[in-house]
Amino acid sequence: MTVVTLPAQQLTQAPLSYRKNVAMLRAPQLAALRSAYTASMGVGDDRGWQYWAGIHGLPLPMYCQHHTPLFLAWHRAYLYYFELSLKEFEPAVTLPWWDWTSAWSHQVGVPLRYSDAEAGGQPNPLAGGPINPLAQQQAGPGAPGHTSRDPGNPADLPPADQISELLGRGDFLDFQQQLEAYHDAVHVWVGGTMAEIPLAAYDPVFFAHHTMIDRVWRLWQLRHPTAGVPADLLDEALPPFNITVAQTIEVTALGYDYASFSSRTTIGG
Amino acid sequence: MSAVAITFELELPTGAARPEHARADLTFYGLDHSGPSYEVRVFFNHPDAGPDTPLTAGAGFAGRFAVFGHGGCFGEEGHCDVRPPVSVFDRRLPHQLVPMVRVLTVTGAIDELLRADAQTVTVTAVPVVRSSPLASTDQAADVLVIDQVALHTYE
Repeated sequence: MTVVTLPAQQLTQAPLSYRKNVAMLRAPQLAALRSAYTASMGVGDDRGWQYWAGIHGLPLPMYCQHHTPLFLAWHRAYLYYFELSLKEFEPAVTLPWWDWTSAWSHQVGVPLRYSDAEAGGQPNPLAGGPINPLAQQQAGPGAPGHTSRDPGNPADLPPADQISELLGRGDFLDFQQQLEAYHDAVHVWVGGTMAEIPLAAYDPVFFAHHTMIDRVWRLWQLRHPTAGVPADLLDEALPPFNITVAQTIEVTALGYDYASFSSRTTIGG
Repeated sequence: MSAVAITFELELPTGAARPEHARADLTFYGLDHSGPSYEVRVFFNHPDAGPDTPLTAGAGFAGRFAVFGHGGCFGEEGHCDVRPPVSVFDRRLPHQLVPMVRVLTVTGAIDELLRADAQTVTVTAVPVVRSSPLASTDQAADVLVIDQVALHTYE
């Protein structure tokens, strides 16, 4: 198989945003995340939640790429654009990842920060989301107006040793195919609307799950710097986004990276 | 919701020259993902296995995988028919419901069979569909569709 590795993109002067482990978010970071989701859910036009969640599934057309060679690249683009939409409400916000391989997740399942019904006396926007009325109409009679979850046994979530084994695989398509298998398992494990492609992205935990998937891809890229996406995929567009597969390869060119913990302070100026 | 299991037989590597393997994969080709999401539980030499069969080596359990499904068709008639390119100049992405491939690593279970000098294995794939906000009982019943299954071992 022919594979290419793109030259490292030139880093910009602007500081990168760091996506963090949801379990490690400090209180102000968690508050900013909740504030951004609340604001997004309060906007009914194409800046808001209904629009962004609907891109993945219903209402038609469903743009998401599943079980195709574009799975990872399309979802990286999706997270990138959705995160930008959240930054319009809270400039410092980044999408956190849910490490479903962690010992804690294997005890409690969905992070409490995403499952507690309330936060600070207010409804927790990370616990669920409203579903676009047009999506409900297209889904047919009985379609829910709000997301739901029906999680399985936390011990059944993918374990860390399977991800470690996966990171050792040297072929991108082999890696992607197996990572998508773990991705599917987590969607089905969460259950409810998360287990339905047409409605899954209306649940905020969808984005925490996919940020974990994107992070694992980033870790694989660091582990295999000379491997990469097959050349015949690089020029593929990723509709509805104005970006190609090649433009998703280097996350620092998209202005972000991953860190378990991050804090920043301004000196002077 | 109950769904119909599929049972089939596969040949195993045999002979004195059979090399040691580091990994054994079952590759499922042509899996349908147009309907509800489902889990497939794979059992060896247990053709009566069902959704309530224990997930233990003693019951022949070899592994499982999940399929994140599209939940049905929400367009008009024909919308979800997998349509081929209309010409060699068709640059559109493939239809989203092109059947998928899934690989299940079953190294330990295959090792057990080879140690017992088995020549073949009877594989039973049991689909399990959990309650779904979109899927009907009819959709769940025939959720598992497989075109081919292959066993690959790697040194």
